[in-house]
Amino acid sequence: MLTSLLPLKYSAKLQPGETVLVNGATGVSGRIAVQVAKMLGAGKVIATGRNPRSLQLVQQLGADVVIDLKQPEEQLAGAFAAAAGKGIDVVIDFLWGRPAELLISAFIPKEAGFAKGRARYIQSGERAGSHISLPGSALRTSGLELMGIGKISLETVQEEMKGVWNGIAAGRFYMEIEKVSLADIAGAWNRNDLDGKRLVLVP
Amino acid sequence: MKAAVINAFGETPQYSEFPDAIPEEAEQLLDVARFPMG
Repeated sequence: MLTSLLPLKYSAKLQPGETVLVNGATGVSGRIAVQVAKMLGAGKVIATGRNPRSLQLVQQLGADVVIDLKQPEEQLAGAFAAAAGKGIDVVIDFLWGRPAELLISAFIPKEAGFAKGRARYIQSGERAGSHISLPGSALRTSGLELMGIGKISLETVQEEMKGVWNGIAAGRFYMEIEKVSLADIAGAWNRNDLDGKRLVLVP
Repeated sequence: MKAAVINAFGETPQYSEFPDAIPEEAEQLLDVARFPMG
């Protein structure tokens, strides 16, 4: 939960009404990010992912628009460009790699001039790749501001942790959980069918 | 006790016997009821 709350609230300083794109919204962290963005007052949340069932779920969790990452690259680039053209204020990216390259390219102005707005792009994960190729034009006049989580004080983390626990206790956040016996750890360790589900080991 | 045991980096953990943990000075033994994986 903190992996979404801290960067959205303190790094990007998300303001009520702003548009947030969650790149990789169908994983455990991404699903939470959709909910946290809405909780912080995002006016519109765009969610990307590859799993159709999970994309449906993130809509139920608050995503206003979904983008299927499995479509051909040219179409995906077009979908990103259309979303960026309507204005994206904040991106939280759990994927990096090729999807990030296509998404970042969507912010490059097609005409000479300066960007109409700024987009704060938070690097939060690398499920699709640890490196990207970043053209200079992606930063020069795009209005794109790349950042990580940055410096957050321990006191802030502790304070926000309390809020997170209260939110969980109040049932304000949804997480798909599957309990697994510790005796089945070897099988659970190698599963690749989770699609945003969190395994919880029980003795 | 039974535990998920890893003997080397990158290995898949195995459910097997492991010596009981004995807390030393300034250490505390915690009972964990649930633990998220991943």
